[in-house]
Amino acid sequence: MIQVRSAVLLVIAGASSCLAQVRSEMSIATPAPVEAFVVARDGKAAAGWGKDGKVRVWNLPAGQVIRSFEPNGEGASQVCALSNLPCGLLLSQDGRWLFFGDSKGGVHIWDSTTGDVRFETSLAHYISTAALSRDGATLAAAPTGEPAQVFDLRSKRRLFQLTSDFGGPMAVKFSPDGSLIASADTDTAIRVFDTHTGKLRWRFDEMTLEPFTIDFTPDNKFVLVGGPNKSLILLDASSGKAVLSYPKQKDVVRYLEVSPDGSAVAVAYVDEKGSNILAPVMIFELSSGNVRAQWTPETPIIGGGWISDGHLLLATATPEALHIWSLR
Amino acid sequence: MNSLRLGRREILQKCLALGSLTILSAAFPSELIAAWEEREKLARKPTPWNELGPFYKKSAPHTASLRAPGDPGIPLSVSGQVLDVRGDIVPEAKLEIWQTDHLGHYDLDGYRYRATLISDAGGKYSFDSVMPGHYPDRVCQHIHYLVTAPGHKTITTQLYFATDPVFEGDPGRNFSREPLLASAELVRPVVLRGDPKNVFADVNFELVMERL
Repeated sequence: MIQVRSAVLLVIAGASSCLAQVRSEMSIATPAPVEAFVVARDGKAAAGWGKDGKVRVWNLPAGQVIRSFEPNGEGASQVCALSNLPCGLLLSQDGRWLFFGDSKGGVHIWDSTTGDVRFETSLAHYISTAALSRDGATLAAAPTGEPAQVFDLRSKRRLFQLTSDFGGPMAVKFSPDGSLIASADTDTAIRVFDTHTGKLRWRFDEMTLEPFTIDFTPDNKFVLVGGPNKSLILLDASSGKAVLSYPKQKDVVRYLEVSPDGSAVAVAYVDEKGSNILAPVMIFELSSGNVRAQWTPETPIIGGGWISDGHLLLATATPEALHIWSLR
Repeated sequence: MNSLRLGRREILQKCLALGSLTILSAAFPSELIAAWEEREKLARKPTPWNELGPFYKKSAPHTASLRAPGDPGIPLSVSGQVLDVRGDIVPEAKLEIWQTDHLGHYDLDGYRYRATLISDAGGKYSFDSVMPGHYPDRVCQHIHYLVTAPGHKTITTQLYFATDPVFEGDPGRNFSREPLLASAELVRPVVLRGDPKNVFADVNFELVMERL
């Protein structure tokens, strides 16, 4: 059952004195509470992990379940999508490939259009983070405490493992052109590797706290990082030199995602006193660091992402439904 | 078919008898075997791995006093020794530790309740702090450890407390209430001393490193 709402809520974001337009796009009835949500870049598909252990794929805007998967009864791992909650899900930009990393180290990739299993493997610990290349051909997945392993999904072979001084990454991301992999590591370094050879291109060591999240700009020229330092740092993707540091905010940067046109970045924050305290999602202008929009919903955001028309879709959940909002 | 199960002593004796093990020493083989066995008794299991994070911060100050005068919370003294799996002392190991305050809050802006320690010539370390509170995103009270020493595999682990109310007095049975714990090994006994108005807690936490 789908309820499409047209109400537009105007939210005054007090702290930043900016006006955010939050629009309730739809509600989708769900048989179990949805705990994590991802959306394809084209905005035509979304996936959610339910408390009943099932991963469902919906077509948008219809909101119909087109596929349902039941991994293995394990909980979700820590891969996140504009949320500060564990979710374990990834959806390729075209919505075709669905990744689920479970709490025991299991990696599952399905073809969301046919339901076929494309790739499965098992890593040593639960999956702390993972990324799919834009063409869906390469996967980087890290068991917690260890560097990410990189897999060629066409040949189903492991290509290489990234490196760190100790521990593993909190986040990995492929550059849009697929040539680089960035790793935000618990040893506090940012590392960028060559996707084809696995060799380290550069490392950035000027963060004192472990970074939590990382993304490339669409032109492949910059890397943006954030974490418990409560700020965002823009790095030159070819040299690893810091280009810009954005003003420090009140909360910890848990997840960030650069918009498809590269003009903005969406940031999901978490309160340093714990994720039980609601914290905002904010949109910043990438060039200036100015706040474009800010929203703190009444229930936690369980995921979301930019879609190609420039909207940021976010999801919240109630026990009986998934609620999708757009923020601009 | 009957299987033949031999102990280390029997294996060594048979090797000596068959000439497949040569001992270049004036000592009697039995003495050497006894010394070997004595050595084996010192062998230890490596400290179990536990997650590094959250909120590791490098370059923490070198201090053994994490508790400032007047800090609220139960004063806590942690001490221990850094050894390798053969029971040998590991001096000059670098221990980076971090924890919440008594209310369960990490200091992200500064270095409260964060320290770097170096094990002494006897492999020993100690620090004074307060009993950490319950960080809301975790189940149990804990202190994070990152231990590095040349020639040894880095340890990332966490110290838990048998007095944590989550364990209801029986960590051996209830350790799995903390999803990050695979066994009760990292849950350490707590010795409480003082009087009811001034309680102090002492914990011993031995760290065992694997050689590279």
